[in-house]
Amino acid sequence: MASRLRLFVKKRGSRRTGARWPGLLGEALLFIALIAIGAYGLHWLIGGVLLAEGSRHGWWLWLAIVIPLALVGYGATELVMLLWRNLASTERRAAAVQKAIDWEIPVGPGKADPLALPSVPPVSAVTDSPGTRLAYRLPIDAASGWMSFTMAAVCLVWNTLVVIFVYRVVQQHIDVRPNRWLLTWLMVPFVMAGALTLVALVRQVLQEIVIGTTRVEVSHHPFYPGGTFQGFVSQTGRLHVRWFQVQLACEEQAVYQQGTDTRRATSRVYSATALSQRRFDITPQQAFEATFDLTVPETAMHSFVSGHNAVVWTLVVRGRMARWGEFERHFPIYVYPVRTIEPTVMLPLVASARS
Amino acid sequence: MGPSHIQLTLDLSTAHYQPGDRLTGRFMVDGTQPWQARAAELSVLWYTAGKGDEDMSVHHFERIVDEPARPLDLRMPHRFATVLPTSPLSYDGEIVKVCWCVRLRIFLPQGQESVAETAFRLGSVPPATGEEQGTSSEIVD
Repeated sequence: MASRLRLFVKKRGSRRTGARWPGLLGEALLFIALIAIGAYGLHWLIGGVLLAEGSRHGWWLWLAIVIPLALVGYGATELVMLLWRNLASTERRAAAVQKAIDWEIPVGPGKADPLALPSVPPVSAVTDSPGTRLAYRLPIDAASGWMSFTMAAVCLVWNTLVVIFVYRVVQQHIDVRPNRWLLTWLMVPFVMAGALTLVALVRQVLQEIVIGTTRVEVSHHPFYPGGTFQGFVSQTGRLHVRWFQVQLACEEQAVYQQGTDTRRATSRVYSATALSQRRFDITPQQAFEATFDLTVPETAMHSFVSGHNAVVWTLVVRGRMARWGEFERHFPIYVYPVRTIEPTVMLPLVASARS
Repeated sequence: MGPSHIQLTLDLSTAHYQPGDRLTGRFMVDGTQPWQARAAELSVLWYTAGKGDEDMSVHHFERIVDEPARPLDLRMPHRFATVLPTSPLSYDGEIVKVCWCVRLRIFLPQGQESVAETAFRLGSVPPATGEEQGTSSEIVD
């Protein structure tokens, strides 16, 4: 029995309760309509207004052509994409994408990564930065910087709004308006929330300043399964440290759609402590410095990255400071599936590899 | 006509390969009458499974089209071969899995399709032991 035409269907993740073809037809009609509207608009604008009225309106009116052109361009592109998606199989489209990637032209001589492996992140982000003690200085994961930036943005926006409202309430008091006390009491939770964001921001900034810089260097990069490598950590600041650790960790990351939300799940599948020290002081004159050995397990999965999934290896520097609580900083490293020839570096390598 | 009529086999019975190995196999369909197939696509590919949305990438792709000069008779065995890449290796993690397979898609008249798949392992990475229990989740958008 043929299913009746349903006007409303429910979207369940990437699946729908309705048939596929009405949706495709609807999309195609929408894009054709956009092209038709854009083409008519272009005809009307050029033939009916711009050319008919000469230069009476000035040159800037020609910029209005962008609007119908955008409609035509968007409609045509989406229509071609729709046809391509439905005429070619998933594998054929993926093969075409792969071929396009393979044809990618390196910009300038020597720009192609000699260590590039499929679905393994490029190592150049690390090998571009030489260390002072060991071969490479690891870049810090940008997440902590984004945390401070986000907190600063939230604090600024919230407190600007609060200041505007407080100013209005003060004006109400000066003008002895009715309901001024009601508005004043209504403002109290907003002012308190603003103060809390300010305190959190100040604490975050002070923590960044007091805890100081963490520098991590490694003797070899990329890492490979079964290899043992040397590491170096330096921590500056003015602190009494209760405990301090460097860990080698592997984490799986998955991004998925749940309803209209995009969610990211993480799962730590490997963790080994490479360095652990307790109760010591760091002064501005004497930074904490230590070397340690790192061994990547023989059967470890290599670093992997694709559109929605990743296997990420990280050196995690974490500790607990008196008065300032715990802190954690992440330094991404890359584990390749096979031992590779390293790019030329300025310092001699001190890696000791088992194999 | 369904996937059960399609024979897609690898020459290596263990279906366990190492990077750089040559993967070979063949495909054909059972039956006495030739299938009215418009085209057949053979792909050697990997895809992700687990909690995240699926990603996939095709390593090797062949498309055979039914032409008047060269009719497509799928009852005859068709061989395929490719050298496997260094990465990504097969992986059975907690929330991320990387699976390799050979997939055959046969295009029939009136837009119908029939798909058969044979999985294989690339590399020797054992399943994740999950030393650290627990998965955290956050909304990013």
